[in-house]
Amino acid sequence: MISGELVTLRARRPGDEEHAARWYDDPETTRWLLNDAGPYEIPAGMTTFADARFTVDDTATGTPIGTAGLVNASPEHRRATAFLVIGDAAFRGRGYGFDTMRTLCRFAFDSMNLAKVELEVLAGNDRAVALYERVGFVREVHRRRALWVEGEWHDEYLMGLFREELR
Amino acid sequence: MIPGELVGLRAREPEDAALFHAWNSDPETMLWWDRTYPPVPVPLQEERLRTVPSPSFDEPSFTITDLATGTAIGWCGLHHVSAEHRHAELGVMIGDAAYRGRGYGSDATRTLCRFAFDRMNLARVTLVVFAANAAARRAYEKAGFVEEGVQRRAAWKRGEWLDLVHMAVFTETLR
Repeated sequence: MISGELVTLRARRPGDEEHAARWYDDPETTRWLLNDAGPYEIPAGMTTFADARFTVDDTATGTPIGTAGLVNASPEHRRATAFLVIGDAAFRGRGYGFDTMRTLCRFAFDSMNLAKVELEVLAGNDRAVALYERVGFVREVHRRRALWVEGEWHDEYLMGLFREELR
Repeated sequence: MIPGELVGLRAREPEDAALFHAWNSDPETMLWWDRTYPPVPVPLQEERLRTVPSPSFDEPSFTITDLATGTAIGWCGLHHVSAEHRHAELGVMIGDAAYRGRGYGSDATRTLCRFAFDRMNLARVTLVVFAANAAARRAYEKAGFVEEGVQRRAAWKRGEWLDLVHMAVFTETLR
């Protein structure tokens, strides 16, 4: 269990599926969803270096509000790809996503001893891009017309954050 | 076989295993490849090539041959092919040192891109190259690839952090 200021990142467990089903049924969530985030599965064993995916709880009430994690972690290159979904709309735009991403990056650097966290985001997802930049992420690659979403081509950013850039 | 101007692309065969193994073991060939560990033994590689399906939308992998003589000189293929997003990532290796610096790599790149656009109906082909590999970056630029950004200190190689450059080409910009 990893605590931020507003949220707690904990192992996924049976029972979370019902929440996940609701989150992933919301077009406002799924329109921005990239492959890194899904599908929502309850792992058979413990959270590991190779598979660090969490359920995010609102610490104050214990309510599951979303999911976040690190995938494709490379021990040689000491980096991994982060994903973040605040599935419960009531918790959007209030700093929960920011706190989750910061807490996840802390975990990546302090516990997993990674050197860099990366993520991919649709260029049109302004709110997410601004959030990641507030955390300290830098836009590194601008992939033009990289993804086909809802009838049109979208650009995508690859963003990266080193330990010393985390705010 | 898919002909270019200098090269032909054909299906990989179990008989190629020894060559692949030699190329993947050669430090000069592997200088700019993100490969940490030695390749699998030849018999295992042979077995893998025997059991992989022929080139398909999901796995368009080829042996590069010298069009004039039929000699196998390298390997190329597309990874992470996406049907919905109509893109893929390209990889090209000229394993036979005698064929480097003579346009065979560029021709293989162009031929594979043409295949991706004209036959597979992809819209975008991407690649990732070490920033320090100036010759490759120039060759890809000549083929029409455009740099889309630098992934900072993304690869640990030979005891140091290296930047990776991401490039992409669309059917209308391929030269």
